[in-house]
Amino acid sequence: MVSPVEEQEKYLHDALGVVKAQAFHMKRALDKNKLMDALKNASAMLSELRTSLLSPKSYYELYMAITDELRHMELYLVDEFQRGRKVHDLYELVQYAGNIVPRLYLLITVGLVYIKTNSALRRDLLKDLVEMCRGVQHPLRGLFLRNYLLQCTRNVLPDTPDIEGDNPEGTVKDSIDFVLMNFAEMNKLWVRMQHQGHSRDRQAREREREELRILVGTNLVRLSQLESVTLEKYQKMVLPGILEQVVSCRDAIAQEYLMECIIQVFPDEFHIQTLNAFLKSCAELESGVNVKNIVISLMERLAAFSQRSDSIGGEGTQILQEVQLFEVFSNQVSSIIANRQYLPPEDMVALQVALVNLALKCYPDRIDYIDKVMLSSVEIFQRLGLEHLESHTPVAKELQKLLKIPLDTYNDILVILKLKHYAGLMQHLDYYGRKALSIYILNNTLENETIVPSAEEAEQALTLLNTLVTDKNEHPVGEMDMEELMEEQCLLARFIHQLKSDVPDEHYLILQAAKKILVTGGPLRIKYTLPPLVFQAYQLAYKYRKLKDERWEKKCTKIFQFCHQTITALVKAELAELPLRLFLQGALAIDRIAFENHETVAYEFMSQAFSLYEDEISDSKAQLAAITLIVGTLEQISCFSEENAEPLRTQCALAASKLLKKPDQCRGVATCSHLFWSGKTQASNGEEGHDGKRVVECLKKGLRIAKQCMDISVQVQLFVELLNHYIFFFEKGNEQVDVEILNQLIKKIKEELANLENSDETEQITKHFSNTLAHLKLRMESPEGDTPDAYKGIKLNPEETADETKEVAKKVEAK
Amino acid sequence: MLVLVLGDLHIPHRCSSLPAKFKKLLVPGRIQHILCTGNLCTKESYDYLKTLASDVHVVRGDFDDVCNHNLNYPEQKVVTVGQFRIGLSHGHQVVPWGDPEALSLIQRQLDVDILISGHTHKFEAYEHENKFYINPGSATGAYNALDTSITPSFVLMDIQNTTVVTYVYQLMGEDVKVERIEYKKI
Amino acid sequence: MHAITYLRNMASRKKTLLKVIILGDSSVGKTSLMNQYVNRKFTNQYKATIGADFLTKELTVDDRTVTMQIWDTAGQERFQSLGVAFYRGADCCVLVFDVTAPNTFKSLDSWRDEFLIQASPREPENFPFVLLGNKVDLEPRAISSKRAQQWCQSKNNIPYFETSAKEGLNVEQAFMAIAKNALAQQNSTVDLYNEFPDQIKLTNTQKPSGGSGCCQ
Repeated sequence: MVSPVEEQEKYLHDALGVVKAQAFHMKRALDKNKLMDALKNASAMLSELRTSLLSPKSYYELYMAITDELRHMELYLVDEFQRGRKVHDLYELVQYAGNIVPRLYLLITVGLVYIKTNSALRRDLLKDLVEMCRGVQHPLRGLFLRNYLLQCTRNVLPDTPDIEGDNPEGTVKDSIDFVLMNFAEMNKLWVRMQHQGHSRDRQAREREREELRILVGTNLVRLSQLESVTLEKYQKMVLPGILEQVVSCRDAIAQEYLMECIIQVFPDEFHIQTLNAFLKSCAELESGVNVKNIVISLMERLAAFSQRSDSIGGEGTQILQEVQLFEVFSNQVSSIIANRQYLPPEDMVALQVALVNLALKCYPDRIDYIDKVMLSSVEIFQRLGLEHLESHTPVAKELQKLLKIPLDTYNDILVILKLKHYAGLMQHLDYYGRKALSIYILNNTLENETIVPSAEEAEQALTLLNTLVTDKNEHPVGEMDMEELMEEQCLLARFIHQLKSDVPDEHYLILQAAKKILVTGGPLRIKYTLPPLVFQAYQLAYKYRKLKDERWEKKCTKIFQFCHQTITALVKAELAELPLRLFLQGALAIDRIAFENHETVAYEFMSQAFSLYEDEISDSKAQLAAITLIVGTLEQISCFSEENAEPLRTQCALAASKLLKKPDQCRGVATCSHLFWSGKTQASNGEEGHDGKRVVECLKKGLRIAKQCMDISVQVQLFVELLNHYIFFFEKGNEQVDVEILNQLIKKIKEELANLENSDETEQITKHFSNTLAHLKLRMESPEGDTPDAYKGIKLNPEETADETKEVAKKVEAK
Repeated sequence: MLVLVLGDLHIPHRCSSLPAKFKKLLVPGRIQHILCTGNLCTKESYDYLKTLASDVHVVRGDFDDVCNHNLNYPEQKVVTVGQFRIGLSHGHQVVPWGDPEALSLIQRQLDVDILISGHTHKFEAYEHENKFYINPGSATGAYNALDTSITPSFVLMDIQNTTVVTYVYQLMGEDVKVERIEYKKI
Repeated sequence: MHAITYLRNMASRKKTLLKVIILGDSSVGKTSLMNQYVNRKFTNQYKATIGADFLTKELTVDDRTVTMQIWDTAGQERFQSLGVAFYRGADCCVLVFDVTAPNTFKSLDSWRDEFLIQASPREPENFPFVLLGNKVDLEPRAISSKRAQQWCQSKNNIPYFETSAKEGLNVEQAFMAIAKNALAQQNSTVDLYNEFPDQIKLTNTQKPSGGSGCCQ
């Protein structure tokens, strides 16, 4: 079996063989000046074009090969004629060629030579040729024949402006008539193909038609090449002539292609002045025509033109101002949408997308145009009764595109907020669509670091993003994806930092407005979205302190009330660790800002943290973490009077000693010891307290707890840690810590270490211990500070004087 | 061997993102290890670090683990890079916060050549009793109640044999300033 | 007369027809270059080309009168629905890019490859190409002449011209070089045309055509 492709190749190969041979003889005859022989060979060569076996592409190849050869004939004839050889009857002579196809090709060739050598015949001959081509009504052959006519006459079409009276050379009007007639005939042949043959071959036939379309389109190219076709001629003759043929042929394939062709081959300057005529015809096209693509193609072309002429400052800019490009398109698009019954909704939206693109490119500062498109889109959806468009549908995708364009162009959420109909249009997306768009808006704002500088805009923004902000959505039932929620809320939380103003009072209003909306998010969301508000508020309080305007202290009080409320909202959502930390951060800020009555406020924040610790945190690891943080914070705060400071410190120490696990207790109380040394209060005038006695009490308690540990290894580890705390205070000058205590501990550790089994832990402890001793040794050898003798008597190798240290140990125990 | 040291990002609690200038500097493929002092706060930030280098070590900051209990970073960590033992601790557990003597307690316990800690949001790099201490500051310049003028910063350590060359990157206004500090192990 | 002797004579005929194809992305200025060369005219208006279309120009190269058939082609693929049969028999291929548009430079390789595949010249490695970097009157420039020249060197030393169809800059010179290269190509291939004697035998074996009547 021979495949259809192989079959085509064979037919073509055979035909090309004939062409090659005949061309060879034709050229030889021409060289010998035997014109009649040459014409005979040419005719034989051209007869190959009578075939019905070839596909359009193969036929095109054959046609190219033949017309290439025919050019030699043409050259010869022109040459001979110019030299004065008179062959008047040639035109008549070739008419006797046996078959019409070769005859007409030869007629065109000879006719062209006549025109070239005697321009007075031009007008009549052109008319004659285009009429005679009617003789071939087979679509494929006819299309190529007329294409040959079009090709040959390219250089001889009259291209001078109209003049009064008779002109045998012809004017541009004759050329227009000539091409329009050829165009109409070719279009008819092309359309007729659709109705030939069996209906089951429709697909193949339509594919062949698509291949042949450029032949028809070449007519339009030819018209666009005529220089004497002015704007006026185009408006009055050319465009109406083309459009009439396009509309009346009532063939969808032809209409779609030819409209696109008009757009591409004629210059922008013409399109701008003929928009209404062109767009009106669009509305009259067959229902199967994709009018959307045509209109969009024109809009895109003109938008590009506008940008091009902006950059070179051509007259295009002025024309754009005179012609109300946007209004014209906007009106025509509305009428197309209103009149074309079968236009799918996604195409309607796609038209709006193109309109917005046009507006943005031609009139970048006319935001009202974008708003107008948004409004008309809303109206379309309302008219069609379309709501909650499902995300995966084509219309929803187009709508997403439409809504993203202004953002992608301006990269500014504030512009979006200025559009009155944006939010309304967004409502036509379903929940998932709105959420996806909200995320897109957030990412855009963060990437461009856009600041939302007023309470009003903040409120608008958060309302626009409501699928992310509140839990009062028509959220579909079912499992919520917690990971997805977390990601979304982190994004939203990052966005909260973009809501701020340089004017502190406005910033405060923004925070209040944002909080009001964000608290509606429910426990799952507020743990992400409220902390940014609290930290923004703390920073704002610092700003007021720096400004020190008249009412700054009152304003700070209000800010911390706001924070207290906001954190309390988190407590009510049954969170503990987060609000505890936010309260501690608040206490630190209050202490530093030192506004009127700040001690009371700071105490309130600390005590809130404490009650959260006591009532809400039960996990032992979380407890240790929390108490360590409370102690670290309290150590930094200096605003408390002794009456407030003392109970807080005691409470810390008590809480630490009540931790669940012994090692935690031990470490907790050791940490607390610092409160009594470097902690500052009002009483100490902001100086460190240096209550050496209380420090040692804490550490001793630590030792006692350590001894209660059943695991010896843990016990020794704790001893080494405590030894380090003792050394810390020893070096800070706490006189309650003396050499004896250190020596006793060192000895104790040495003894215990010896009993430990070999293990990684033991090795770690040994290392820790020897690092500690190395530190002491370094200090003993080159003592720093003002107490060079303080290290005297420290025994790094207690074995040597075991008895002595036992004595010391007893003393230490007794203290 | 390039080691990126950074921490206290506090995204999204205190900041919206890393400074764009830093993001431009931090390109994937150049850094071998990342040591993070904590307060990444979200998985997203951790995932971002993972895009820069596959070997990422994080310890728990005071605001990690508060929103998302799945992170589970350790309190302290020791990482060996070349001939150096490097200790990593956020630092909020060390009272008084940022005190060099208090930090040296941790250095001795972890038995490390270099101790890296954070929490104060203030860059530091110093030698103390032949050991090296680094605080990379806050990479986002996040708010800190104890210091109102925070400069965003991070540190790159170039470790070769027994030498660490530390480069600190600080965002001063619009410009990134780089300083170089060298430490040699005895 | 023996065929080869005849063909040699044909090559020396006083009139020679050269076929030149201009290729390149859409809106690089192919039509404008041809119009500037043939008609000495230029317009800023943009009109797309559909299919392929030629203009002829007579010129004298080394005392020989030559008719150059210049094929202007559509840069957009959708306007080439019938394929590129017109590539065949070309004597020279002119590649054009826009010096202000980097993408048009990047496409050159694929235009060249496409031409060599479709036109299948006898000696692809020696087939003459000429490269034109057009729109040098425009700013900002994206492709330096050095870069273009490097590309030309890598393709067996293709001649390179920087042109402005708008200002007529270098257009005449470029097409003269194109004509010379095309002529050299034609002279070299005609001598190789030795399969013709076989074909002569086919002369009288007319294959029946598909159609029978005349007014099909």
